[in-house]
Amino acid sequence: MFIGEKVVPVFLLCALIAPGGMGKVLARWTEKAMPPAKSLGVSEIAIPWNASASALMYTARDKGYRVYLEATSQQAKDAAESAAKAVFAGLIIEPAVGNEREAQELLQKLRASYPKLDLRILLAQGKQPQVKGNLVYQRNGVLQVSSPTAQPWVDSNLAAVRLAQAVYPDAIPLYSFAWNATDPLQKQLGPRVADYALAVAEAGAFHSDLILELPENLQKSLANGEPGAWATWKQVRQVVDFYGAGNRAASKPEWSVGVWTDSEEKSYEVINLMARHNIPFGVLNKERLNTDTVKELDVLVAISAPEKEQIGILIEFAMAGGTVVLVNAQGTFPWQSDTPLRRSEFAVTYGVGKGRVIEFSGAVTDPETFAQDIRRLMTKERVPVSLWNSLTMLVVPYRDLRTGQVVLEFVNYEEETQEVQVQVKGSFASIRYGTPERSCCEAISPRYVDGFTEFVVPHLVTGGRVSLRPSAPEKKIGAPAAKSHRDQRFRYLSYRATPGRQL
Amino acid sequence: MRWSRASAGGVLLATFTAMCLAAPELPRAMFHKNKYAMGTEFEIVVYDESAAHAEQAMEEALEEIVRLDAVMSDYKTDSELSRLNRKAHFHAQIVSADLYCVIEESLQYSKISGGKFDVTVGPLAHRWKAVLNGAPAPTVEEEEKLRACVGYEKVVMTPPNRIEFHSPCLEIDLGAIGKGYAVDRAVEILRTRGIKSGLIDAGGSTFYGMGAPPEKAGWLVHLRDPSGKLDPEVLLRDNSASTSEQTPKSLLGNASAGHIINPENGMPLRTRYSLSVIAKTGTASDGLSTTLLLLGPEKGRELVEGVSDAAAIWVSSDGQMEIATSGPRILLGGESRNDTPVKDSEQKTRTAER
Repeated sequence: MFIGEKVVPVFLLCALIAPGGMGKVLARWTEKAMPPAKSLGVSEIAIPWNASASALMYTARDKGYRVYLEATSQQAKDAAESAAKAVFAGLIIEPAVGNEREAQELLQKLRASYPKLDLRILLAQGKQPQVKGNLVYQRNGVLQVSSPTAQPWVDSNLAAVRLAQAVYPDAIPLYSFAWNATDPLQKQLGPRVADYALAVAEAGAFHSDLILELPENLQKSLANGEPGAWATWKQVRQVVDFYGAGNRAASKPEWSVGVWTDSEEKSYEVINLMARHNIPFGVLNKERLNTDTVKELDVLVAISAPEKEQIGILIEFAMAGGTVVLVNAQGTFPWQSDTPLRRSEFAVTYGVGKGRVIEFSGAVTDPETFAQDIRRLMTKERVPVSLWNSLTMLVVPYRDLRTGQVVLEFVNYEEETQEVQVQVKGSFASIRYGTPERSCCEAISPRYVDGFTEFVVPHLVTGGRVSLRPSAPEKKIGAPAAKSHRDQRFRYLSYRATPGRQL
Repeated sequence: MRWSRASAGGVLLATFTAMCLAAPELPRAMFHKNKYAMGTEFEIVVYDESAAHAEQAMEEALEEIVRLDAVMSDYKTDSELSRLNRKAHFHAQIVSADLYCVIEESLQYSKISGGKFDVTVGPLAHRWKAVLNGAPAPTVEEEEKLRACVGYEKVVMTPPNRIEFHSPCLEIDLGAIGKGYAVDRAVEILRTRGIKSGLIDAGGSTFYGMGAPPEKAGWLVHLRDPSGKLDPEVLLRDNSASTSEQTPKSLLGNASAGHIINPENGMPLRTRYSLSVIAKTGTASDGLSTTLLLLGPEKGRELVEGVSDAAAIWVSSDGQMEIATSGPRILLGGESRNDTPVKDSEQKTRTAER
């Protein structure tokens, strides 16, 4: 299946959408009563299109919300008509899995018929962000399988977001998910503040929009003004507000690894594991793979089979010093006329100009090891950002196009507050750190080593943002500004910058 | 007939006792909680009558694991172990009961394995982990220098709480046993809180089964099988299972790296086996798993049969298998669902290729 057929339609092609902070949250509402938008602190509401939606959507509008109707492809026409007639904000189409292409065509038709309506399509594969456990619940018990010590399984939406952005780099991804119902305790007690906060922080960090599902009992309690519910929501709102500020349109993701693929199916797990290992990557499809889009890259992973045109691009990239990784390489390629530099059980390496081409003979059967190998192949001097000892953390680097600032968005998938040790390429005059809990901003003291800036982010609860202002200070190069105990933390940094820890 | 007070009281007591005995047990539900510690995810599942009680007990057990991480971590520079690694060279240091206890037990495994298991392998382990992350392999000189730092006999334990290193560069790495110790302490807490049935999982590599799930004989754990052909299983009931395996080879051919170091030659262990152990405690199964992987099946069998209530299974990716046991049964190919499990005596000598 091609990305163009599956992922593309999954996202709204809405370059006209307002910046909406770093990540916009829409509340999904199903109960009759609701608090005013001003109190909830969420200005947009998503109402599933059904028999009782009609009354609800007018109530929502009266309460000050911008109302979006959520409808299946089959319901979309009627829902669009109602939404347009009532001058609601828009319609969100939820395609069934496999029907994304149809939904995309439908969207185009509806857009022509209702030009004032904001039309969006929901990402079909959204999932609850979390650290997943190893245990699997069965109907009559728990299934457990022993293994060597496993790294925490960070379940994120980054791979899906990146795949979607490959096709429409200017569109803003919109996703949602149902809360995990397999965990018995969560099923009984419902999501906790930390669960909501993580969901909002993740979407914000990935510069995506999120429809946040609110359980019925929380909706009712909020509508009834119950203090316990409002105490919970107050904490969630702190995170919503934090990511609701800013201008994501002014920044673009920084990446040094490109993944060229035209197949979501073939590449999803590889990309998912690259995300989990904090490899700063972007996805390119056939239309976007050209000498311009790859010239700033360090490593180019080709998952799709290259044809004549792409082979030329790969060779040019390698000649200039890049590393090309060809997955499931079949056929004859020009570089094969040279003697390989190295052969292993799974891979053959050829020198091409200043760079190299590595051919993997088969498909990626072990994405975990493959992702670790990609990290090993990255040129240390060109890695935009590395975390140390942060197995439950994802970081996404952005460059502010107006100011040149580097902005790092952190997401901590574990509930425990953590310190993060960070290494960023380049020297920076100032480093400022903000979080939903402490707002903006706290200055961080860096130290400068071999063209990198190293610092420790303190107290990362769920999400945090570090802004690094360029212009290297004089005389500070090599001067340790960190406290002595922090120096100790960096003792192994050159060796342990990757999160690949196994006991 | 007139009843005396005593006989009436006796009847009442008997009736009350009978009622108590006959009272149906409250239905127990399953609860789950997990937490990140020691570089992996710890999970606890318990059966209990009360969600609040289960939640509280699991939280306390997980907090204990987090506390022990702050004691035993060699990654956290402010951990008790890191301080010991910085200061104990020719200077005895006073340590906590936990740290003393886990190091003391580690040294026992070093002794019974003739030094194959060695927690002082830290300097070599760190260096080879760096190779896994892309650093060049150490030179012969560097490796010799690092090997000179290693040796469990250079750790001097003075009861009740003093530890000294008779080496200028020795470092202890509890990665091969610390999780098992933490699991045991968590089990203690759950028991103290009245939990009778539960499973603790330390990142998939060490499990401890407390009691049994309702209407089950024990906690069924599928053991690691890199061949995918054998499906070895064990029923845990107040005992533990651990698995060790060398880090998978890089697809690029960087075969020399690995996180399990052979103290005899200072190099990452080369083995085709994955190894699972069953033992009475988490500390024992965790410590034994690395030890037995290093020893291999031939020498390992002798060790297993000398330890009470232990069993081990070595499985290679091509389906080669060796089993040794001094008690616990390892079931094969879904035998837990059959009526005729393999006898212990058969298992002791069983070597199979499938």
